[in-house]
Amino acid sequence: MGRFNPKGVEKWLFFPDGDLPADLTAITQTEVNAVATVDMTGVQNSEALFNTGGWTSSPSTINTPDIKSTETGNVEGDSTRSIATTQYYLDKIPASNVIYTTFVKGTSGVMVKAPMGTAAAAFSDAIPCTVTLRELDDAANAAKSFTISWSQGTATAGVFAA
Amino acid sequence: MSRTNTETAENTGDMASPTGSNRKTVTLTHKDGRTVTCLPIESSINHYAAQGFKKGK
Repeated sequence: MGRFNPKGVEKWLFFPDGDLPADLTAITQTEVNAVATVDMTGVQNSEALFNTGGWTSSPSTINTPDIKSTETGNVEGDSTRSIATTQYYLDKIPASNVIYTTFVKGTSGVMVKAPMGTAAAAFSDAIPCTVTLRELDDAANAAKSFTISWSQGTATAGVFAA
Repeated sequence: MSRTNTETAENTGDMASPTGSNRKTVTLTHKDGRTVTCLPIESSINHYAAQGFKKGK
């Protein structure tokens, strides 16, 4: 038992189309460490991930009013997902921003959330996704950053394999 | 009347690993001398190839 701070522990991995894990419910350590797999958290003191958003599903209900009663129940409705984002600090050296240069519009693959890291038995959510927008942020009084926006499919929950 | 100058710093907390990450990159060069360094994802390389960037050099 124990809560934890995710800094330095949490991982976000991107598997590009053509190098996807064989089983999204049991991603292996070999697949995690493959050359094509991208560590989306970036590099400390350089181009690093500092904010994510929208990588979850929102369930909804459908109300079922009737003429029998003013009490209205519901049934399960669709669970929908919005545009997801990942936000990074920019490094002032252009060549150090390889996430920026790589994730151009249309880049497609599977994003894997690994809040406990990627060791065997840690939990994962794997979400097919495609870059819809990559843009430099325009905040003036802040460390410069950029945002990648993603369309996304539905998530597959899994447990990392050995 | 006195003036004071207060310096501020913005926190830049992030989720990156303290040790960074080992990444293989590809540098693409345009004939006008511009270079782009990206990860070896085929669609990204094709994106820059369409703009005249080529592998090597």
